[in-house]
Amino acid sequence: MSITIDNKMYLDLFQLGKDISLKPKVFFNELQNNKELIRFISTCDQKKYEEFLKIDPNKETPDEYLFRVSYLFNPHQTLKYHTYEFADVKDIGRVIVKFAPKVDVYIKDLLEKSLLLQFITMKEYDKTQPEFYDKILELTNMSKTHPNIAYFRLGFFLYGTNNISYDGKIFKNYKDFARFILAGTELKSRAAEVEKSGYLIALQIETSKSPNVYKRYAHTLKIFQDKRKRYEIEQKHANEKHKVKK
Amino acid sequence: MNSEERLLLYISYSFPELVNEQYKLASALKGSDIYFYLTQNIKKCAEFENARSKKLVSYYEGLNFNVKSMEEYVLLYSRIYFLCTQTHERYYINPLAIKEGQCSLKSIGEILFKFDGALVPFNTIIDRNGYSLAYKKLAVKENVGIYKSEMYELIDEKIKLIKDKKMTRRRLNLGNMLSIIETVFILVFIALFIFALCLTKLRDSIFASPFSNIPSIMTFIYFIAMIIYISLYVIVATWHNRLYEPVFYTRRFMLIHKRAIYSLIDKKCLQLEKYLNNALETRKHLRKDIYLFAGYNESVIDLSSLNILQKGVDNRGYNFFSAVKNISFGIMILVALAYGCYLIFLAFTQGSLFA
Repeated sequence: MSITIDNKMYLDLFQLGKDISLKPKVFFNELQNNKELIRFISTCDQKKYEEFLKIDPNKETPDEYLFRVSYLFNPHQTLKYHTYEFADVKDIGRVIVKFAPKVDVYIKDLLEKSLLLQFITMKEYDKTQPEFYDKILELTNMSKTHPNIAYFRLGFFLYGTNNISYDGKIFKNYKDFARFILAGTELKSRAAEVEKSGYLIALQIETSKSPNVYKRYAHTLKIFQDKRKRYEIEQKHANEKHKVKK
Repeated sequence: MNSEERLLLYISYSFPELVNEQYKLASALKGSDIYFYLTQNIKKCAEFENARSKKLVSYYEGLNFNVKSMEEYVLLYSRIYFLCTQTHERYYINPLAIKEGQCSLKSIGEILFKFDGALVPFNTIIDRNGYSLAYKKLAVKENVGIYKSEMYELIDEKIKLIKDKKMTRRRLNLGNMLSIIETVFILVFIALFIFALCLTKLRDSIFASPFSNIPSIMTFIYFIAMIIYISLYVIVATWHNRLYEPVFYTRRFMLIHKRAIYSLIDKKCLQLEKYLNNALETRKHLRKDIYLFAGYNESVIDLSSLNILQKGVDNRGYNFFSAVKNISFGIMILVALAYGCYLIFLAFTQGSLFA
């Protein structure tokens, strides 16, 4: 039995699984509306068909849905997500660092939606490379609260913290980058962008291999923000009282 | 704080040698709106005789703009915000320690109370559901307890100040020693003069022909110097006592009324607690009652008398006369020594001075 989708003939689920994430628009539509394709899936592997029915396309984004379906059909393939294909997981780091400070939303999705974690779990990294697995787990958890910092930390973790790129310029290391930011008018013009991207913080954490500086920074900033917030509430109260008096 | 400052802070943790902006930023804080606002608040705050307001003023005076790092700068900035908040009257007013017309609050209900881990206006506590009356009463007890301990602290501080060596002469110091020596010497000067008058030969020569011989001239010089010195001593001593009278009065008052003041504070605290509990029970908001328990002026001598004293001690006339008196004391000792030596010389040259 075979099925032809987008002018390509598929003989089994393994082949189908390989292409699902590479042609997201085509397969999302086909998996929803093509009854022949559904029949093909059920014929090929009844167990996988049952699992497939449990994945609800309405609960997830199309890319996330396709990712899960593709790895259900073919768990042995390389990392693929929304037309991207990475021969090695470490290649993600190269892409992240190369295009910094721009954030690739699809790679960010991989981390935020725990897809990367799911992928390395499937590949049994938790048994073969437990430290690597723990790191991805840590970054996945961090991405829930600090998505950009976690994204760039992933980049520096996989690529390394030397000869890094920022806006097309290459920097030897964190200190070199810090010097660049502090020099001339760079601080004024780039401060908002650097802060928003989380690049600098991610680079520092991965360089020092410790979150202590970031924790200290966050603590100091929290003190300041709490005091300012309290002041603003008090000021608002005083203004309201003043208005009532008038 | 903007993005630039936050980045500088972050980089400064790893490379403090690359960041030197903290000095400029800290000095710029002095020209900021927030600091101006704080200065205005502190001026008002300093008018209150209140333990918390005093702490706030001292905290403000202790602000250190000479920051060494970006972190210190951010903490300084935070402190300014913190002080700006805390120097609103509803944060530090103690309803027992205010004077009529001093406060811009209208009601005790506006004052912030510690309640369930936060600061809440008392009128809001009245309305707040989900808490038992007993729990709210416990909060009232705790807050009134704070007012009470603040009042005790204030009284203790005044008593301590009144006992300070600068304000009273109870402790032995250089000034007091000089005063005692002067008193002893005045008696010695007078005794020496009376002794001279008792010497028959000398007395005859003084009164028989005044100013015509050396013993007579010497005795009169001694007498005049002694009168001048004693007059100066009396003038300065009288002036001193007039200046220090407020302190003596305050000290006497404090010693006599100390217990009465404490029991009056206890009584007022009980009344306040009862008043607040009643408001909780009837669920009625407090209005226009901010001075209801403000018995501060009647019960406690304030420190204005001590300020008057300080002005007096700094008085130029008093200081001048005091200096002249001290100089004349020195001269008088020399005169007495010379006169004493002369008497001894006379005794040796003329044999007995009594016959």
